[in-house]
Amino acid sequence: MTERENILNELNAISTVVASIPRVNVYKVLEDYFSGIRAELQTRLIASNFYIAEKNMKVPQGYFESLPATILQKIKSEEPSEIEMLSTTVANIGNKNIYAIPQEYFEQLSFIKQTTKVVKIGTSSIFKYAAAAVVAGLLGFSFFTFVNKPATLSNENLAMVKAGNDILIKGSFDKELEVLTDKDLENYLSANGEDVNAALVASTIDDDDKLPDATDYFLDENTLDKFLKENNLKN
Amino acid sequence: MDEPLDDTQLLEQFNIATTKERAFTAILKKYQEKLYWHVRRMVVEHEDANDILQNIFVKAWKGLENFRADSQLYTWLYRIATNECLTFLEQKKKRTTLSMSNDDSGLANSVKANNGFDSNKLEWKLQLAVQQLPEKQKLVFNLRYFDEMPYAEMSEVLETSEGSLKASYHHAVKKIEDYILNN
Repeated sequence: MTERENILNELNAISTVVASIPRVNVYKVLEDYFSGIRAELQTRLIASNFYIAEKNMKVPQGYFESLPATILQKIKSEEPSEIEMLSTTVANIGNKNIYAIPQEYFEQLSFIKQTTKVVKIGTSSIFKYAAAAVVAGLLGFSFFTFVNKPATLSNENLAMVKAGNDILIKGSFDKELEVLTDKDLENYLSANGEDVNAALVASTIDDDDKLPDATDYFLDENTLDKFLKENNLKN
Repeated sequence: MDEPLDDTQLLEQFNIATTKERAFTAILKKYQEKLYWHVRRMVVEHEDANDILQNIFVKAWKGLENFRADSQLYTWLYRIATNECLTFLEQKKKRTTLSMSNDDSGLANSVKANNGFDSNKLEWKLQLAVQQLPEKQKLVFNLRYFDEMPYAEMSEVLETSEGSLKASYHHAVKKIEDYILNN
């Protein structure tokens, strides 16, 4: 008995109604469909690089080197981002910046950064220490000339020594400090950078802060560096 | 004229670079119509069947090198075809659900849209009845009734026991009878 006869008998046993239906193919295809499908399929295989790659046994230069990166990129591009997984609504809004900035803001910002040195210090405080430095310098110079007694002194230096001696004799340090003019300060600051720096350092320290003492310097040679670093004073 | 090669010979030739394309074309010629009709009865529309048929052969091209002759070539191709059909129908079902369509008779409508459809003819009624079946029963019925496939081979294609396939076929025929008698 053939398979066809088997099937017919089986079908009759289950349902004579269905067995009586003519077993015909009701669907149609175009006459040359099956001859065309081979050409169509070959085109598709060529397009997918399978046919041609195997036929010529060649792949584009660098193909295998770039393949892992290409595949990873494809996988990543197909993976939803974190925000997409959390909320597609929010993800669809995008992350475009809606805020505007003045024209050429960033160009100007870099210029400002280059030219501005930010010093956290009060104006009155700096002048106070600068003035003290001027007077201290004057007194120091006077004391130096008194001890070393140089052979010759210029008229200007002699005048300074005399003024310093007067202050020492009269004890009028505070009084002299008050009468110093801006011009005096400016001249002194431009000529004595180191003292000004010292004045700036001192002025940035709050009264409550504890300055390192002599023992600290003795125990640790980096005490000063640490102190300056802690107070953001080191360049 | 050369005698047509059997499947074993075709597979041997496929694994030789110089005869690979020729062997593949021969496999294509041999099975394309059978597979096309198997697919067409499942998805009904020609365009869909055409896409699926091409996918089947693209997959066959990729997989044939590793094909081991522990199963027949034609049951292997039928298995690819069946899986492709089921994937396609699953995706189609999802698309229908996403479009909020309550139309469950999509395939039946596709049958009716075919050239020459005549609702008074039993062969067309049979097709409408087949489209009402669950996919597994539809597969079993089509393979048995139209492709005249023995249960042993069908068991390989669908990876299901012969007993289970016989039961599915029985249920399918009964449902079809019921549809024909009541429509």
